[in-house]
Amino acid sequence: MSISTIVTLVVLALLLFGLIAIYNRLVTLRNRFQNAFAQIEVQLKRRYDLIPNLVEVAKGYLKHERETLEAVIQARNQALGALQAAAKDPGNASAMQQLQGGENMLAGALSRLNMVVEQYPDLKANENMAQLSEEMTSTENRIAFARQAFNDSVMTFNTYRQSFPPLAVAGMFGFGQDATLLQFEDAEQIKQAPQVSFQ
Amino acid sequence: MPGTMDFFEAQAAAHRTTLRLVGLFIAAVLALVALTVFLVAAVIAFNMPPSGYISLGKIFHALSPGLILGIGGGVIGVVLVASVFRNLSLSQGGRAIAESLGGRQLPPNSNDRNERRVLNVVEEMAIAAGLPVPPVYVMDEDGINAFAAGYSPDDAVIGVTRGTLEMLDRDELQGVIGHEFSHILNGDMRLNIRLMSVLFGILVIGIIGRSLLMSRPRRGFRQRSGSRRGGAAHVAVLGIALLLVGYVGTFFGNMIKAAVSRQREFLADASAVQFTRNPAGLAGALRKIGSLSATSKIRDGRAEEMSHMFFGPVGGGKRSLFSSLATHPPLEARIRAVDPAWDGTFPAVARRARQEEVVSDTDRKFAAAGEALNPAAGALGDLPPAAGAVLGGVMAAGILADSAAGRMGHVTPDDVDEAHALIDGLPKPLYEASHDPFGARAMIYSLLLASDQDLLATQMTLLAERAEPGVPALILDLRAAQAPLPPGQRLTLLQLAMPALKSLSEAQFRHFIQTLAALIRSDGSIHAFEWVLHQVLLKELRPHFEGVRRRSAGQKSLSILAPAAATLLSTVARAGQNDTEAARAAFAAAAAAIDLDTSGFEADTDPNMARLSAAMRQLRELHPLSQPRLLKACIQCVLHNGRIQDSERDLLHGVAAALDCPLPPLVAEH
Repeated sequence: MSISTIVTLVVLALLLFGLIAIYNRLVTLRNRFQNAFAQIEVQLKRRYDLIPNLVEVAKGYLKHERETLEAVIQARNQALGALQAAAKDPGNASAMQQLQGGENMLAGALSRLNMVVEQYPDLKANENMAQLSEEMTSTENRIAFARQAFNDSVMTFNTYRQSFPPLAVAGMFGFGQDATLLQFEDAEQIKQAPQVSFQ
Repeated sequence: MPGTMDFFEAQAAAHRTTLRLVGLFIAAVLALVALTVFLVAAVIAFNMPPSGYISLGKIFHALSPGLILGIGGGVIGVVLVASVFRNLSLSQGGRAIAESLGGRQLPPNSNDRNERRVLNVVEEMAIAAGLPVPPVYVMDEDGINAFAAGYSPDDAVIGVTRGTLEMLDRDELQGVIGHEFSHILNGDMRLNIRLMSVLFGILVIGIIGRSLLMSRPRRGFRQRSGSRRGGAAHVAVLGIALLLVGYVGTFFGNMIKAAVSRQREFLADASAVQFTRNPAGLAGALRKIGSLSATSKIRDGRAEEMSHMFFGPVGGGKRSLFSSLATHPPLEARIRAVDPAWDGTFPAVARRARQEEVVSDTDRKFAAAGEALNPAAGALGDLPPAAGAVLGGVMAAGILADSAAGRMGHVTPDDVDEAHALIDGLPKPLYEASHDPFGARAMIYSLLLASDQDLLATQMTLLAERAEPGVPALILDLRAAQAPLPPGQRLTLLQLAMPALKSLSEAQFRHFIQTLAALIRSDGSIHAFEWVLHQVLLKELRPHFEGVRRRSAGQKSLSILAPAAATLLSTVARAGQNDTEAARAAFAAAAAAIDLDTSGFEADTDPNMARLSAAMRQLRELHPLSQPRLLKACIQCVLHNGRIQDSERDLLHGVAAALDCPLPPLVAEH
């Protein structure tokens, strides 16, 4: 075998290893943001589980506000469906948009409920209600945090995918599109966080 | 059943096995080179006039130095490059390996009952063994199987199949997870990575041969130049030869794999029984694998390369043609080794469906209550007494130090029961916070809150500025929840929080560390607990976020690292005694135990613990068998005045973590 053949083989081998490395990294980064979505799923599910309890407690007091309550339940069910669809393919543009839409609608329904609750001081004072509201608020913070982690990992994936040399081969490897970030509107929740006191 | 080894001995033995592995590898490569050269020479001899037949004489004619060097060099070069490449890709940490097998991480705060069960079992084992809690990955496979991967306990992960979650009960899970933990403790993971790199190198030759064969025929027909007319045929033959060699190489490779891994599987089974005191669990799991409805088969093709890392045979356990090539001992032999009274039957296995737990029922006690718990566990209501145990005399301290150090690296069923009770006894807000990325950070901030009111106000202002919304309120709640906790358990909380912290994004992690550092600096000095917290956090999280920094097992002896050891012992001595003279005496006693210069005591304070940090970095290169001696000396130093103070206990914990020495909670308490 001549020198030039050997050199060619070596160069080809290095190129091959380089391509393998790029492919592996793309797969790794995609796995990361898919995993990060799992945490969002856990937190959102927790929130969706709280809502029926909330509505149950409120029902006793809000006998004439049935539409508001039903709107909340409906929005919650829709959001849950969107979540389950999104969990199958996190980062997919349409799935993310569906989830965003569902969440925004739910936020709207919840804020309308909040406004109604404000007018019923008995309900506000109810212990179960207070506890549930508190849990909802704390879940909000966790959702925001999980969303931040998810978006961070999506950004990392997108940035790598758009850089050179991955850009040249990403399409070939099945990574043709950027992943989509998840944005929720900042919505008002049922209750504000209790005041922090340094006692 | 082979005797079980001490953790430190096991580490040293793993190193020796690595040397044997390298030896076998070199022998295999040389054999391959010889075979290749011989084959190529045979072909050349066939073509040499008079052509048409081969004889040994012609072959020797064909063997020219150029041929030998060229082919030999090429083969060795390819194998080395491929091995190094694979080693690099496998050393990215356990997470990378789990992901490459198609694993998906279980969120630490999962609501599914099956997932919660395995997460709880892993957690208990880790706390019992004094290791950081590894993240758990699940593979979408129906068979029952599990593995542990990673370069060191810090970046270790445990992988299980979905079948394992669905088909094993709590005792059996404990057996399997105990088996995997013993792999982590015995240093098998690093050995496995080396093994896989070596095998990949040998395999590559076969792959190259195959591709050469497939690409040659097209080009061969276009050759025109007379002198190279035979060249295309030569290369095609080279391809065939390489292919043959590759397959032979794989054969050798599997033999190497088998030689190394079979024995370690028996050892891991034995260790698992030792951890859980319940052979029925492990035997039950093995029997379920043997049943027709389950098996340990993994469909994903990528698992074959790592077959020796799995709990059960990846191919499903069918008798292979060459049983000496099997990576696992036969299933029946394993069952009998664990349960001599086995009647030879395999049970039918049922799968449990996914079961979500409603939010209000995530109480861990509720989840575990319905399971068949370890019958010998009993109600361990009282945790061992915290600081304040008074003992008399230096002699007693010496004996105690001996037994304490001897218990390091040995996980007993008492440790596991203790860990279970400890975790069960945690206040619910603390438990939940430690399992949730948002809450885990807040919990760690809360561990650093001062009791002094002014200082507290400063810290809260700092947090209000830098931390995410909702954190300050949560911190105060968590701090209130910590009040009844014995101080020694603060670091246990840290261990529990590890998987949740590992699911932070990189940007979140950096922000967390910066805020943490600011919080520690807010009072102008660094206390022992703050130092330990910072050390342990960075050491266990850095490999996860910034890439694993591969370092080989330490080889240096205590005498070479004497100055660093002196700094460490001086710090421990000063932490526990109030006046310098008492500290000097404690130091002298401890130094004498390990033949260190007893006058090397460092009396001046160590602002910001900078000297200690530097010393710990150096001490990481200590030989595994010297580590228990050093730790024993530290324990002796602590027990010199008969009492264990909080700062001393925290320091011990931190030192053990920094040295990768598992320190079971019972040892730390007594």
